[in-house]
Amino acid sequence: MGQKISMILGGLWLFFFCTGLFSGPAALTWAEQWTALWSNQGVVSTILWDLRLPRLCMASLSGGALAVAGLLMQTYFKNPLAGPSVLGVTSGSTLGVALVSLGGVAVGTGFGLAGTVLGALAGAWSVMVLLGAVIGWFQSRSALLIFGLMVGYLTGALVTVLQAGAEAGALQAFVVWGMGSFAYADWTGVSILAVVLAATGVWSTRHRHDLDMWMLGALTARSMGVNERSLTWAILTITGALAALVTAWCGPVAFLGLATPHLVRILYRQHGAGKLLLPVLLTGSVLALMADWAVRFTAVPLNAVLSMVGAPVVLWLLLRRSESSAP
Amino acid sequence: MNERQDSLGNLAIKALELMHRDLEGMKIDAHLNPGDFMVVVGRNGAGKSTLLHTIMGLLSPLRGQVMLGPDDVFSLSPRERATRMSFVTSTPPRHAGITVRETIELALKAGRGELDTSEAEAHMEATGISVWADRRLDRLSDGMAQRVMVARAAIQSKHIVVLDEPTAFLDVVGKEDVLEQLRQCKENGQIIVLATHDLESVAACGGVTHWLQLRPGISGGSTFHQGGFEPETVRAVLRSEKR
Repeated sequence: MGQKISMILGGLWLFFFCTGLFSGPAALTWAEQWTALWSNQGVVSTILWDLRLPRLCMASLSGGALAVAGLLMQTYFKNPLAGPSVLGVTSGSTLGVALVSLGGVAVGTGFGLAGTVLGALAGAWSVMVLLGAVIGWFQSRSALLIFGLMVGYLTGALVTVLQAGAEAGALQAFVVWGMGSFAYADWTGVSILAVVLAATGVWSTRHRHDLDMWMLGALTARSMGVNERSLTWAILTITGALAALVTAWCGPVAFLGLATPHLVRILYRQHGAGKLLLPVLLTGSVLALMADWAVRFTAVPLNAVLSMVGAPVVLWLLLRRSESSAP
Repeated sequence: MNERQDSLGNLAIKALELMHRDLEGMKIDAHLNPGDFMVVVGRNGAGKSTLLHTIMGLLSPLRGQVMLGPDDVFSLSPRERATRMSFVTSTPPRHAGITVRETIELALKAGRGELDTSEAEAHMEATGISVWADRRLDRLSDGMAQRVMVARAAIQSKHIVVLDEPTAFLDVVGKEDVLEQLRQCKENGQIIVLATHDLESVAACGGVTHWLQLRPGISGGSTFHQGGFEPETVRAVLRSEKR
């Protein structure tokens, strides 16, 4: 059952990756593109290697990264509605990027790449550290979500202040960035995200039993040999880094982190975190590629596409929650 | 009993003082051999949970030691500890979507570091939970889930099973099932440490060899009794406490 679904998802991934690679606004023939793919000269080759391939790789990696971050957060907080954008992590990154691009913290003008990345990381990790510090005070699961919402409001207010004082060019660039897009991808971003995602994969695979034990409750997990402190900091660091890197290159991408794990639980009929890691990674990639495909063919911004599909999906999940409440 | 005296599976609580400001000055001493069953009694706030967490190595003591055979519990790594002692909380997990089988398999991995699927199946069969093997924990009733958690604890650790009011939320049948499982553990040579208010059910099920009364605020503060676990006696002792 699971294998069949993975094969279908793998097929979808291949289909959307290839159609993305060999189609676009430039009217190119298959033969032209095929030859250009294997040479590193000429305009066609540049289109494929510098525009389409990094964009597709970034979409795949970002989708997988956000989905895995969502799964880790839902497992750690034992909360089915947790996710990078819900808990304020993406908002933290956005504020970091705004400080750099609008507040002029960066050396030079506009989007200094290193500045953007550092800003996003600093913002995301600040929120994660705050979350780690206050998590013990939250008695109910909804308090955590309200925390995320309030972080969102606060950072939103600060971003508005920065926007009000920003110059037109920087403001426009920031607003466009905020709509989310995989189009600004470059090989640097792809490589960094790939390395972090691979490290996440290694860590999660080694600790997959810890993640499942954690769902039995903190005390029980500790009595089963889980090191609570190292698990907490690993998850906060990893999810913060994944969300921040995606945000730095693609903007505050909505819904993928929250919705993908749920979709995978329904598709695979599995609810343990350990067994869901790979399926979630694959499904996140496929969903991001599909969303990017829709963006390219409809010219609707990424976050609009994701929200139009994501919001009804999450509402539907809430409605059937009485039936499936497990994170 | 004597040849087991210095085996790995003895539990010795030595001049233990708990890390809790309301429990200062209460000294606890107890010594248990494999197959012993100790009930911890005390009024609310007497420190039962704090004591159990300390025995499990999850909470540092103020003074004193918890010895597991020749080892201080606090010198063991969390993994090592998990192979020798296990813990059941009063509330079963309500948000874990893993199945009963996956839970038992996790316990085997925590305890042995490796998984023997046939052992998991046999254990589920023996503890009467195999009918729910493929059901998710969060879809089970509290009573069913708690039975799974006790079965999980029983197979995880070689030596000691510690339980903090495991029957608090269970109906009569659920209680009897859980207590029956504890008797099985005892017969397998595991030490049972059980904190409970449910004196009748525990006494009726039998098998209790020791009981420990916690009385914070009183000089000495705890009494370790061998045998004589009768609900009437225990209740009379608890009633006589000056609060």
